[in-house]
Amino acid sequence: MVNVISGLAFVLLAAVFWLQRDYTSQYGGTFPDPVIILVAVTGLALTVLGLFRRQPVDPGEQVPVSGLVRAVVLLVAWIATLPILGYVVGGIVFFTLTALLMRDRRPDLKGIALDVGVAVGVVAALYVLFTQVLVVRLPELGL
Amino acid sequence: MFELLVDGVLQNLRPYLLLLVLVGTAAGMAIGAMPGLSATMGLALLVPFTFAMDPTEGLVLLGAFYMGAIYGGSFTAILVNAPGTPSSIATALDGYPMTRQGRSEEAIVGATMGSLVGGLVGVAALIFLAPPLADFSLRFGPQEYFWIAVFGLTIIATLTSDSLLKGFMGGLLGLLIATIGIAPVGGDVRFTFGSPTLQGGVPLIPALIGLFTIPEVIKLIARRGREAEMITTEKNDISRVWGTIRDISSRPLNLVRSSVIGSVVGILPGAGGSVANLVAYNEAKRASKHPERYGKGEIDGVVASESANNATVGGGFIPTLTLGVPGTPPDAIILGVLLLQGLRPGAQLFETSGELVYTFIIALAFSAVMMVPVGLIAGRGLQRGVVALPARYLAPGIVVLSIVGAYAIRSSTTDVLIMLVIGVVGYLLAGAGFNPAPIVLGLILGSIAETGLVQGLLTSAGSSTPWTSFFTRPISLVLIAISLLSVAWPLYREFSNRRAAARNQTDDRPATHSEVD
Repeated sequence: MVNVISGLAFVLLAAVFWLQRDYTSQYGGTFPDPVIILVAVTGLALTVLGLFRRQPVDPGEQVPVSGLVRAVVLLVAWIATLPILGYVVGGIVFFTLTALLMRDRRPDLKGIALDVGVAVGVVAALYVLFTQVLVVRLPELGL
Repeated sequence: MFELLVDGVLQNLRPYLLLLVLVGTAAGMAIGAMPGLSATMGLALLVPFTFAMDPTEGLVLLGAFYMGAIYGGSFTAILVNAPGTPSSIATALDGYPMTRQGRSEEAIVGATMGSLVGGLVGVAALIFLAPPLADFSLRFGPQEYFWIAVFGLTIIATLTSDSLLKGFMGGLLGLLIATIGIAPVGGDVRFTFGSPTLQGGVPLIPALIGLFTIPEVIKLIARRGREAEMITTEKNDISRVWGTIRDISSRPLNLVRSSVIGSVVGILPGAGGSVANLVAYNEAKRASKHPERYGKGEIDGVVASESANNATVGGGFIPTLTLGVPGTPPDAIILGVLLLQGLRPGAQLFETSGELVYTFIIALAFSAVMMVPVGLIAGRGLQRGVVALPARYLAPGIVVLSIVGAYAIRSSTTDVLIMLVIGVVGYLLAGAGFNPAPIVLGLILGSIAETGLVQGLLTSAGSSTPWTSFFTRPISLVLIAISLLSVAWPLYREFSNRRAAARNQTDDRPATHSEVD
């Protein structure tokens, strides 16, 4: 089933790119067009193969769905709020949240203080290193 | 030349220059180890500091920094599956599985040894082969660059051990992503879906961080920890280091072959370490007696990749110093510094400024040697730190660094978003059996292939059949033959292995029957 879904996703992707074609020069499509066609053809091939062959799933690579949702929601929220919270505030907030959510047991006050302390230390140290020493710009607070 | 070489060695033995080499190597390693901060960016930051220096001292510092940065990329590739630079993509393929097996220290030692030998071979090539190889590289036209990209793509056949079809699909996906934005020739704005931010295309570094790092972070957070094998603490035993060095030394061919590949690929402008490490990895796997171990924690894979990428440092300086054509982006920065100092690249540079040039070249060799003690202390220290760090701090720590890496290139939060989207897609694709390496390979080679293809067609536009120019030039024919061999060899090997397995089964069957009877 995984192969069928993957194959169809590639065909769909090829279709989306094909519909976006709007070349203005003679050679604009010389390279992308064959690539799009090959993406579609290989996607179809995988779909057909998937219909006739079952793909074994490696149990060692499986992760709990609730954990997966937690991870993706955390990362999306972190990146989405980056233009508003900036690197430092966003980093401290989400570093702490991630550390707390990754604990096996409910943390006590001391545990929370430790996670907040580590978050502040790591984020502040990296911020100073990059902005002051290496002169690399980082997202600032947008509030 | 011999006198100039001896003079270069003596110059580099001066305490001040030795200190500069040490500082440059250590600083380069630190920058290279941070995902997203490339050798090019680090060199660009370092250039203003060299203005106050004597030209020789400035160049020595920059050369040592470059050598260290390429090596430093291996640390994060091995420890957290985040190649610090594109030159370390292949290092992650076996280095990270070694970490997952509790063998990260062995991988760091392998990377150090490979980088040392690669760095020295690259410097030797620079000293002895510079003029003839530089002339040869000038014979490469657009058609040849197209075929080099095609040859690079054939490596997918080796990179994917599970499904060749999925490997090629990954490569095609990378090529497709590479077409987003302004076309390299002609300037068409393509596949931007109405977003002006995508006009610049999908940047390589955020894509690289997304594909390799984000899936691991997702797994760490989702599982609330890492796999049991990863937290196995390795004993701090120097005999293990010597054991690894002896083991790698027992297969010198891998070191030498990978270093030669790195030197040669480094000469070709535009290719550099990001292509060399994958080509060397491919050849090491193809030549190995146990290709099935590659991708699962084979130390020779790490050694091959690291030998090749450090060899590109010396190789890349061949066209830079002799022709003024930089082999890689960091070479371009160092070329700029040469020009700023009033030095003109060319054959006469070796005569008029021989003392400076050879001091610089020997400094590269000193830096390669300096990487061993600095790398083994810093690299093993970092390794112990990462292994001992609780996963609840490691995962957000990687995200904090990844954000810097993705953002720093263009100071754009969109690039951070691109990293996340590609990371989540990469996680889903990995779950469906797609390896991230072919996608990255497609992304790197896409623009090289398209530029070669379109420029080749344009240069042959006067002919009635411009396509034939891709099949009639001698170097192109050699590259086509190598590409065909590269695809055919793994297929032949798999076919012969299956036949041998079938033969063994047939041989076993009568015995089983007789036992039953």
